[in-house]
Amino acid sequence: MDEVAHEAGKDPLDFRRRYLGERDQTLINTLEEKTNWKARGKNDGWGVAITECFKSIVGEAVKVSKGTDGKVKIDKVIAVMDCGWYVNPEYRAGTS
Amino acid sequence: MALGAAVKHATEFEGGKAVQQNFNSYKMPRISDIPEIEVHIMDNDEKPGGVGEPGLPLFAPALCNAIFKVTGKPIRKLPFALEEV
Repeated sequence: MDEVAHEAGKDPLDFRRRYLGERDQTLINTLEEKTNWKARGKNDGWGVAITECFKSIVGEAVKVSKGTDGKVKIDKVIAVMDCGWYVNPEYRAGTS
Repeated sequence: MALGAAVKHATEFEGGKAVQQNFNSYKMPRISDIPEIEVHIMDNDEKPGGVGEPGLPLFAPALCNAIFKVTGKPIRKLPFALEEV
């Protein structure tokens, strides 16, 4: 989907907003907040993905960068999970 | 787990037999391979859904999208060698 957004010349998260529902918009807002999306550098290596799985909606953003040796390395992974109503707050953060 | 499936382990077959016969050749991610991970759970009153598994399928596409951003090259096959992109 990021490749399609790239072809369309659009921001990957903004591009997805057009095609997703209200609950997904809140997830995208949270993902933008946690990744500090609007302040990211133009050439920062961010990739995102959003899916629905086992009745939860999840969004994930991965940041990669090229080291001085030219090799790609994974810097950070940020996941935002909308699993609805939960029981044990410590358990759910650990399993995700 | 998702990192392993995206960039580490594969089962190849030759002559109908698996090439990787044990964990020495079926490379699993090590603690030094794991990047910084942040997980945020949203608070709402929607119906409960899964928590452990849903994060897994997203990693490979998000990683490949990030690599596309940095290299301009799309990844079309998993697993791929991260050190060779």
